[in-house]
Amino acid sequence: MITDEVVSNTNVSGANTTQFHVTAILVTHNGAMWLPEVVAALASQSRPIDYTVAVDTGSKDASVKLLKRARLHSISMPYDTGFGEAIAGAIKNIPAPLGENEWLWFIHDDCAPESGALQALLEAIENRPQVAIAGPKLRGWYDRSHLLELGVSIAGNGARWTGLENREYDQGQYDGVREVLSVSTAGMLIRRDVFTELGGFDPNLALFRDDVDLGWRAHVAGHSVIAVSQAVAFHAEAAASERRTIDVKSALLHHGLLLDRRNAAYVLLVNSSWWLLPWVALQLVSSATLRALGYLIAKLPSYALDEFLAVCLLVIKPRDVWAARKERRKSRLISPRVVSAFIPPRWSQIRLGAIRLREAVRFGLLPSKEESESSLVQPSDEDDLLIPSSPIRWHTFFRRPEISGFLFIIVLSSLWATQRYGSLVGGALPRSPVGAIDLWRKYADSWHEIGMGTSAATPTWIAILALMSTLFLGKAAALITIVFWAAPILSMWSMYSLLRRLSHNSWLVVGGALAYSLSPVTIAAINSGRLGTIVLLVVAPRIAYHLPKLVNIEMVNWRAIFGFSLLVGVVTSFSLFAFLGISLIHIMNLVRDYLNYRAVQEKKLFLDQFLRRLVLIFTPFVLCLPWSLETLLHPTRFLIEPGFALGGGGPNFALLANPGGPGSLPWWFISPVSLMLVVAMFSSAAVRRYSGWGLLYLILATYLSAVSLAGHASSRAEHLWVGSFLVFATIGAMCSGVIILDGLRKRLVGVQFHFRHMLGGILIASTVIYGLTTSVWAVTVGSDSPVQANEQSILPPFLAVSSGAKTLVLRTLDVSDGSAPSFYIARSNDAMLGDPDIASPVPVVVDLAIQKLVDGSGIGSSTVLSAFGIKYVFLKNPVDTQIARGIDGLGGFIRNSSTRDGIVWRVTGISDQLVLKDKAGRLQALNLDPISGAAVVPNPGQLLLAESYDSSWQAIQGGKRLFRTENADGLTEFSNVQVGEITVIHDGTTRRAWLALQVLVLLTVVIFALPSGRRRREISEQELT
Amino acid sequence: MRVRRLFFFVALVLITGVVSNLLMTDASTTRYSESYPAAVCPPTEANVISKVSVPSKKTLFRKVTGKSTNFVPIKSTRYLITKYPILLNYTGVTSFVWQSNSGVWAGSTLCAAPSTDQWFVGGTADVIGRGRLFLVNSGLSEALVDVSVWNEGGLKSGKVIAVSANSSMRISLDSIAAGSSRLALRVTSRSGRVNAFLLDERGKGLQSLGADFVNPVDAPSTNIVISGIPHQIRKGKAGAHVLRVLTPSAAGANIRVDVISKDGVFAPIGLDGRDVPGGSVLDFNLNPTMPAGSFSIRIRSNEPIVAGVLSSIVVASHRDLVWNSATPSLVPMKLAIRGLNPKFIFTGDSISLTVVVHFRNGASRRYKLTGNDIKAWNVPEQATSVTFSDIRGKIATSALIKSISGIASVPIAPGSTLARAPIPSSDIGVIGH
Repeated sequence: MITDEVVSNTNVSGANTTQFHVTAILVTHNGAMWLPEVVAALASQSRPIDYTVAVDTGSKDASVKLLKRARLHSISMPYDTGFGEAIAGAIKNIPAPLGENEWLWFIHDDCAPESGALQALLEAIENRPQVAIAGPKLRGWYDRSHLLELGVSIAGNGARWTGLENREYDQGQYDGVREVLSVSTAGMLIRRDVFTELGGFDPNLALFRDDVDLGWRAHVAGHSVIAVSQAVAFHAEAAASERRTIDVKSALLHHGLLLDRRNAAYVLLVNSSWWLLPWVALQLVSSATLRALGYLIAKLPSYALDEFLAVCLLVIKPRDVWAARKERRKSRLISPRVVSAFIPPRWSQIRLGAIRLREAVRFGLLPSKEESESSLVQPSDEDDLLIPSSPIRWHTFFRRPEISGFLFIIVLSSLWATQRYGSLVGGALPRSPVGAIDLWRKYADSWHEIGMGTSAATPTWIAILALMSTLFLGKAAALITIVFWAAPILSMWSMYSLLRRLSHNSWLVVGGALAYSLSPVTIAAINSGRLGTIVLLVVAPRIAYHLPKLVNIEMVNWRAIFGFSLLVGVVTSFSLFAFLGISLIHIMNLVRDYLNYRAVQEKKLFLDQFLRRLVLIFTPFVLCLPWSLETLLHPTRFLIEPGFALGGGGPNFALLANPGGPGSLPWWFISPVSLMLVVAMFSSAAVRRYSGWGLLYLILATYLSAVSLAGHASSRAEHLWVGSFLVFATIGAMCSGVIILDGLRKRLVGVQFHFRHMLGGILIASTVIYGLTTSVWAVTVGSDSPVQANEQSILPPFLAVSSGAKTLVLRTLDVSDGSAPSFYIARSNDAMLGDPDIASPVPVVVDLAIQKLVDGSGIGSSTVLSAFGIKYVFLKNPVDTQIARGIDGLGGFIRNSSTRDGIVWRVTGISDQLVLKDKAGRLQALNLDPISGAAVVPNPGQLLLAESYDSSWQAIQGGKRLFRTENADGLTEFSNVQVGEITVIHDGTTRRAWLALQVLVLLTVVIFALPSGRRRREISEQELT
Repeated sequence: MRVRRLFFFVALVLITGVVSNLLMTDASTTRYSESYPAAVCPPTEANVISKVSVPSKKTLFRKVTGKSTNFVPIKSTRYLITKYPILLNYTGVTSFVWQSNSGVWAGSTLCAAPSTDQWFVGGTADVIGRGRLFLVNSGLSEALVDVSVWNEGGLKSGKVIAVSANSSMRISLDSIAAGSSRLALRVTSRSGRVNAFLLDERGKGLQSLGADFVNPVDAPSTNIVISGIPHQIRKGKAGAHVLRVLTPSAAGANIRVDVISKDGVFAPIGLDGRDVPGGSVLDFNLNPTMPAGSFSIRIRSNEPIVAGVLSSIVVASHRDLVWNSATPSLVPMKLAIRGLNPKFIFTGDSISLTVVVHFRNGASRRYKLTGNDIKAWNVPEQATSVTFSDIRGKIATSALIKSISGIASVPIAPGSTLARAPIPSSDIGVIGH
């Protein structure tokens, strides 16, 4: 253990050490590998050892033979004898004590002291009568400059504390004689009488931490412990590094780590002051938990189990601790607080931990400088003088295609987004909530107050957004704004990363990436608020980068499989449509594998492939549980992107690789994507590999775009948005184009003019023309997109403050074409991110009532609406006067206000969330506390809850759950309600269970995707030292 | 090989384009719901018998009073309206309401759907006037109604009247235009399902001068036909007719009146190019020389006007009055006439239509009616309903109904027209952006 206090660094050479009688006790256990050198080291001590005794604890290797050959007095002990027991056995077999000058020198069979080690130790203790224990500086066995220990202590969490950095080299930086808590038993020199007085090693510490315990006891008994840097020993740490098995009888499962952790906890619990015990226990448990988690992440479950069991072993046998504490109290002369100076402060533990983590990350992620910059000729100062200095020419900086390309897209994106600086809403994009906490809540809640309420699972992308918003200091709106601004840049960067693997021509690569970021699908996705497609645009090139590797999937390791699954999982959480697209590739590969299997009959190979592809297909789906599972019940949702229902442009647009719909490029902005895909099919096989997939997705997108489906919480069928498939088609086209054009000039220069010249010219010209015109369009017409910064709420302010009140909002979304009005039920606020994806359709009864409300025939509409808890009807401007007059005339609606926002009617009748129907059939509104869900029931009867029926709704009265039924309207009812307080809750247990499962799955996949940790025995000696 | 591959993929893309277009399912287009709004029949006052002819005993109805909003079968094809107005669940058949004070007066009107704007030309609030305006709110929320009154002096200040939900209100004309001899009213509803009915009753002391409903028109027009004006000649003396005209605009109008009778079409003296000042209600005597029967008039104007003709008649030795209102062009429709024996007067340059008469015994008979200018046609006995179809050209049609209590002239128009409303669709986008 390194402390700042150096007792002395003077050279004490020349002191008289003959006054001491030193008995060396060598303990061996299967140490034949190191024993010869150890014996030689003992024999070559400059200050000879007075008596040497060896204790072999049942070695099965050549240790006993080696001891005999060295003519050492040997004692044999059983195989499972601990170190302390072995020492005790040896002491019984050596001559009687000679007084204060008799010292015992404990030597491990893997610890070889330098020749001057004993001399130095004795010199250090000569003038220090208070010193009872001294130890050498321990250095590595294999790397002899590696500093292992100079004294040792124990941290509050039980960690063995040396105060050294990882892989620290001994450069004499800690030299001197230092007072320490303890020294390692490897090379420990201890006064025999003190050892006897202290009772030797604790029999409960058969191995590991017995040194710290002994040192601690020596201190409280009034003795000192020193570490002497001039005494050096080389230690292989064979037991700690799992170079040999742990055979002591107290080692459960022969796990070294388990024994070490158990003993560390034991040392702290038996030696600490009683009033510190709760804090120590808390530290031990929490640190054990954290370490266990770390080991789990590093895929070392047995180590994690060791951490867990170590604590358990002490918990189930507390008597050992109490007995040991009682024993220590007898020999204690001074307060245990005397050791506090040697216990490392918490900040230094944190600092050292941070340094180690940083080093580990750096080591894992970044290649060492030596590896990356290997040069045969090292430059010298003289060389520098010979090389003329070249001034930086800044204009050349901008001539680099990467720089100019990315600068262009940044400027373009900034101009394009002139209407999008602020809280974004519009197109398919709902309004962002105020903070990340709202997103987390939406994700965790079991019941969502949207429309008539729903218990549908929130899509996983909400959790991802919540996580990212948290990183943005909780500003969800800012995150969305940045995502939409940065989408072209990020997609270009992502595509650039992919294309530069295909070509070394920077201009071509940057041009292809730029064309991708200005492709019709990119423009449409950004302008119409397609969050799912935007994420896909950024991630898809990364996926495409890995896809070729998956052809021979049996060669891909599991870590890569799970890493890829995680990447696809991110995309899946935003777009199940994209998941279908990616799964299509896996399925086709699977079919190909099967056909190969049929041909060659290699079952093992096929099983390897099959298992990996199954993981690839199902892991992203399972990562999105339970949302993805619910989608199976409504399969059409696989084809619907997140957000509001917003149609695409149909097959003719799709055929031009343009998804169409609001905010998209006009059809006559014909991108080169389709042309490129078709032309590429005329090219080489390498090109066709990309264009084939691209063309497949283009054709699928075209067919699918002919399908009309009702979107989320909408009864209006719209053409499918096929942006996801067109992203894949665009990637295919860009990759094909880059490969075709790469080196085309060279190839064409040498041949006569023919159609290839024309095709090449057409491709380049169409791409350039498209890029230029699209850029102009994006910053002019395109900037006035459906997605815009808009803080204005749909609901009038006074409705927005009525917490939880349901308002039927009637509105004609597109007044230009005289289309029918649309409606939905609002709950005090506008629809927020994720709401459309989980909102349930309006019940049929309400739908019919609203239909009659609009056509003026719904005399009973108000009765229906109030039964469903709808308090207000809001006809948003521009108002259809015919509808307004109809509502006025129907009755049951009292006009509340008519403002520039629109007209508001209050629905007459009882339209509260919770209504009591007494036995006489009278209805009475109950005041339901929105936080606690409590209400007071004045009369017995039946409770009507104006929320959609769900089996998790519970009404609890007097500790009992009331009988719940679904009424004819699909609302929730509770019968046999008595007078008194009642609590109405939506039981979120199921949701929490699903979330727990999802977290578990995510952690498992992350752990599998992360680099694996190694057991100590798997680490080479060179690395260890 | 490569060329063949190229053509294959080009063909593939083209075929995809064609097939996908053929397979394309339509995105949602606006759908409409069509329905007939329920029709309201006027309330009945004391000493008055009011009966409504309905097409079937299963016709649903409810009284416009109280809190009940349930429709029940009417159980009679000629229902006696006791007091409160009734709401008929309209099924495409227009119903007549016949009201009579036995031996004193009789009047008739059609049960009609609520209207936001109704113009009435008729009535008086002078010493002989006992007229009243009925406002019926068949909706379930309070209605606000504007009543604007014009008289011989011009536009009087309007009045805003609140009518409670599912109720009716009787307003004496004296209370809104005291002393006015010549009245024209406009009733507009700001909110609510409102029907207005104007009953013009006159008397001199204890002597009744008759009464009749003044039937409304929707809006002023520059071309008005008033069809089926009953013309009596009693003891060699022709009955008096008074044409009442109002030009709502301040500019005034120039009108030309043509009398259309069996004897031909002619312009009465003084009414051929007559200037009518704006805002004032003017009466013009119409004293055409023609045999007894019925006639029609056509008024052409350079500005939109409203007009009506008051005819004095004698029935069973007592006097009665008949208000003839502007008659819209006939459209295919069905009328329930159970218990009535109307005489239809068709007015038009060329009259051609088919009338199907349905009898009590379930039989029906088809009549092809043709003629020029004006044609009168009596409905056969025992008829329960008539259906007009195959109507060519513009034919203004009114029904003259006679009983021992009096005569009524009712312009024929559907009581409720098929309302077409777009069907709303649920879409959470309405609360999104």
